[in-house]
This record gives sequence, C-alpha cells and structure tokens, in this order.
Amino acid sequence: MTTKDNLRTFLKELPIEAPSQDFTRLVMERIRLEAVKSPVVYTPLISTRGWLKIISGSIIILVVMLLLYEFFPVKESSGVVLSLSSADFSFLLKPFEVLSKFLSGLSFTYVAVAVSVCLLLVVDQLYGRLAKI
Amino acid sequence: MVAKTDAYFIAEVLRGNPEAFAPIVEKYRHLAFSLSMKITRNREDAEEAAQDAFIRAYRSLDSFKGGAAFKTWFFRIVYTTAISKVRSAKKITVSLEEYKLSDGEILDAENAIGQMGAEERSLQLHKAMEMLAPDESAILNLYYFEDLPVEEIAIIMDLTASNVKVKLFRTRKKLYEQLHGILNTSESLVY
Repeated sequence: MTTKDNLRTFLKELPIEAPSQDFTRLVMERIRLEAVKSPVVYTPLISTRGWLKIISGSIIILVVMLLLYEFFPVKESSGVVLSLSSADFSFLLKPFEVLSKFLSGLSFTYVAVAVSVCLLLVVDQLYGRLAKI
Repeated sequence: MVAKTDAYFIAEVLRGNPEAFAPIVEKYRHLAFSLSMKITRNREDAEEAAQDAFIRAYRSLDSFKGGAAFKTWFFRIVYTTAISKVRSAKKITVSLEEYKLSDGEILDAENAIGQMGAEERSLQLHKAMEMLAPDESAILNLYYFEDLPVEEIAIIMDLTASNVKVKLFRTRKKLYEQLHGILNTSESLVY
C-alpha cells in the first residue's frame, strides 16, 4: 500500500462528527422564515417583457428591411432570394422622399443596421418607461 | 418505489414548496457538518456554519445550474461559509514549526502510526490535523474522507486541478511532519 492509501485508511478510522439531533428542524425553521420573507421562485432567463422586446424588435427590423429594400434595389447577384418586385410600397415611401435622396448615396446594409439600432433603442426606452409606471 | 432525486426536490422548492428542502437538509447534513467541523474545529461554529450554508443554498437555489452535481455546488457553499466564519473570527492558528522531513522519515512516521492501536492512532491524527490550516484540513477531508475527485475539489475550493494536486501533496507531507513532531515529543517525554 502507498502512503496515500495508508493515509486514506487512517483518516477513515477517525470518529465521524455528527450534527445535533435537531439540526434539520432548526434549519427548516429558518427556511420557513426565509420562504415568508423572500420566496425562492424560478425566474426565467428571458422575462415576458424581454420576449415582447425581442418580438417587437424583430418586427421593426423586418419592416425597416422591407422599406429600405425599396430605397436600395438589390442587384441580382447579391443572393437575396425574397422577391418583392410585385409588392408596391410606394404609398409608404412618400413621406421619406427627402430622406431617400440623402440615403441614396449610402449602402443598404449600413443604413438598415443604423436605422434598426435606433429603433431598438427607442423600443427599449419605451418599455423601460412603461415598466416604471 | 423509485427514490426521488435532488433535482426533484429542487424543482419542488422552486415551484414554491419550501418543505421540499427538508429531504435535502437530511441527506447532506452530515457532509456539511463534517466539512465545517474540519475547518472551524469547533462544534458550535461548525453547526452554525453548516446551517448558514443550507440557508445560503436555499436562497440561491434558483441560480443552481443543473449541469453540475448538487453535492459539488453545495460543498462549495459549505466551504466558503465555513472559511469566512473562521476568517471573520480570526481563528486561524497554524503551527509554524516545519520539520522538513525526508521521504525516509515520512515513511518512518507512517510506519509508527500504522503500528499504533486504532484509538491511539485516531488521537494522534486528530492532534496533527489540528495543526493544519483550515483549507488544508478541508482538502484532506474532501479527498480522503469524501473520496471526491481532484476536479470536483478544484470547483469547491476555487483552484485549478493542478493546484489541488500540489496542495494535497504538501498537506500530506505537512501532516506527516506534524505526526513526526508529535511522536518525537511523546517519545522524549517517555524517556
């Protein structure tokens, strides 16, 4: 037997220390008090409000992408599968004519990301304020 | 009848039933007390530390990720609770005597201990363990008494596996050095 094995045998011979007889009762008394003060309840990683933010954010991004698609027609070689040529969004674009001229010099991706981030920040602020009410 | 697992009772507690924590307390009370006792070396403090550990575990039960074993997760709570209790009370008293034994002398100490009667051996081992630092007693308890693997001890003590191995080696050596010192002292008292 090695030194390690011997030591294991020796240490296992030591008398086992036992807690007091009413240990469980004492702990459970404290647990009951804790349960009244602050009950331990499972809280999901993403709250209902969080899911609402994610869903509304996704919808906003989708709408922004659809709108901007009309500003920046995508070349056939770009790999975009969704064809919107049959949809007419011109009624939505009328108020954005000035913006359209400004944006015409920029790339579709940059503008889509910038607009989406801005809108998400607005949604986040909105939900933040609603939570305080 | 199928025995209910820790996961079942934890889920019950998280559903809002605090009474489901009782079987967990019953199952782990000896382990918690034993580890606390090795660290605090005082029955009263060990009992208090073990109780506090259960309360802390209950409070943070919703943060317990089922991936790790509950035992390891709970042992970590017991270890940190007992260590902080000792530190706050500044009860850490460690023998500064270092004997620096050779491997041959360690073997001699081991043989001498092995030849003793079980009762005498327990007494001498107990004395030697009292001279170790709380974390050293804890590591011996977890490895030799609870038979936990090095990887789990590393999680409990917040060390790397290689650090645990080094610490185990040093603690084992230190324990035998203390035993050697105790045996020499008692021999010199006899003669």
